Amino acid sequence: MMFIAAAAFTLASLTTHTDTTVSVRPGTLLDISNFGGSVAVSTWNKNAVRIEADHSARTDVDLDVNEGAFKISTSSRRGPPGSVDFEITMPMWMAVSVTGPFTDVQIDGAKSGIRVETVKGEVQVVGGAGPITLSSVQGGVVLQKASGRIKVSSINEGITLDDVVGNISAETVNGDVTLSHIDSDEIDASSVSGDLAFLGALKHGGQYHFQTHSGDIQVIVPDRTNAAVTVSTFNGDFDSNCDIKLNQMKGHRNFAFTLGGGGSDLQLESFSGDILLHKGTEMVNLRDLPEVKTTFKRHTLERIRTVEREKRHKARDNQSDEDKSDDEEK
Amino acid sequence: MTDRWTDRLSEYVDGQLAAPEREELEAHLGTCAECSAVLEGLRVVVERARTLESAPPADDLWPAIEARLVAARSEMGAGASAGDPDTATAPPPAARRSIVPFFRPAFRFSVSLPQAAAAALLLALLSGGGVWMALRHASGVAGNGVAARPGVTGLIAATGEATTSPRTSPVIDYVAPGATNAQYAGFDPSHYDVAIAELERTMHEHRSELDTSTVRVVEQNLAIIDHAIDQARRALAADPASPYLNGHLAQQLRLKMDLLRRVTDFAGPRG
Repeated sequence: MMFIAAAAFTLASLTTHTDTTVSVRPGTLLDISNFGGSVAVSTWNKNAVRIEADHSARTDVDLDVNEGAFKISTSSRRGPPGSVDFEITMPMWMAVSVTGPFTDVQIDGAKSGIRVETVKGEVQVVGGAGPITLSSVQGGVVLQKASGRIKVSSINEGITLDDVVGNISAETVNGDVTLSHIDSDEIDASSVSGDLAFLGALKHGGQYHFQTHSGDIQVIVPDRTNAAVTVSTFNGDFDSNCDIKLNQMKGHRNFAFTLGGGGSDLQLESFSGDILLHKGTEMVNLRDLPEVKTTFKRHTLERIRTVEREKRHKARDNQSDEDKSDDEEK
Repeated sequence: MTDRWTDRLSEYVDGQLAAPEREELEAHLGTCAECSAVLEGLRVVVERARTLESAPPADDLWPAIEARLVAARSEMGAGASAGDPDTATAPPPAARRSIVPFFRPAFRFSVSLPQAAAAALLLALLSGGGVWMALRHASGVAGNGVAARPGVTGLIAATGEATTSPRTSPVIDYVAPGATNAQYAGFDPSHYDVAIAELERTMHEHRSELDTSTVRVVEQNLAIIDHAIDQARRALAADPASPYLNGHLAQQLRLKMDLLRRVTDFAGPRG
């Protein structure tokens, strides 16, 4: 018992809590660099940054205010800095950059640009406007209620964007990409083994590219959608409840068609996964509908082939009619 | 101050001046202390170059080079904006040591003839590691719509990613994310193979600097991409003209390159 009490006392004496507030001028950038631990950023209406941090006595929290940037970092006199858990409160207008190889990052309420880069950490951001770049290797990335030029990436986990406005690039290798309630005229989403899902409207003149190797793709669009659609797969299937006007059949699993009057460009590519394009307002769980989907897939592909065959016949008939009338005139 | 001979000194050192010009220059050197000093500097550079072996650049050369190239890009049009954490301000030096440097200071420089000669020497030394550096640099430096830099043999592929082709390596027809299948016309996978082999070698060299679980995850994901590449190659063998399959293979190769590049980028901070 004595030993435990002594250990607890020693631990407590080695742990330090930093709490300080620094005034900042409008336009200043917040640059946080934390080797390991966590960074939670929230906002307030003051032109000041409050820094609260729990860390060992061997690790220092360094503050460096210079023209235009306020830098918060950690250091140690020996080796890499220890783990530090930061709670930062910053002005809403402040652009923020957070880096740290082993750091989880949470940002809530920012109204300016955001950049987060971690290797082994989760990234969760609510808010942000302007350039937003979020990346992790071993952690997932979640972004909500944001707008601007958005670039998100992971390697081994998924990416989730919800209620987002702006141009979007989302890329992962071994995770799903889920984009819901999106208002964008340019989306480029890709994965290698993960599924891609999109729920939102396609805007006139917009470009939307979804590409995966072995995952499924589902795109859910409103009833009156206008788009030129290209579907490419090697051994996946295609499923749609839309009224399709086939333009081009490049092979039985590579074809293009138009929804409504066209006007936006939608490319759907999955090497071995299935591709679903539906009109609706909610995502479909593909794995919940295997039988319905298979039936519908066969129906859709057969219908496409039939339309293509009819077009060929019609073109041939028209040609022979023209030939006949030419002969008659002669 | 320079005179009409200053720009000819390099030719003189290399023995490329015709006899009448050489004699005229030698006469001039007898009366011009500045040209004599520049000539001496050039001879030192050339002499040192002879004693050096061609070797790949040390890893830590890259951040400074990258920072300069990025600054050059900023000058070409990516101006700073108040709300953009990429471009808002110049950092304190320590801030540049991050997974990928976020802040790059703008700078301008001019070079004298000896400096130009030294720069040429540096470029020659760098050429051995050119592929690796070019690839590390490709995603971070050249953004969409950025023109190829003067002095770099390059091409703008697909959506504008600049690529370099050092003398010792083939052209890397790097295809940018989001490229359409039609933009993969003429794509040659062998170019990626060379680049990927270089990056893999670099990654293995840095393996001990990385967190073990990160290495494991990276290797798992490389295996996933390799599997996709293998499947795409086989499909392409059966249908070589397919724009989709060509594009798909290029996309997987690009992903692999990007992942390897990221690994080599974040190898540094831990050490």
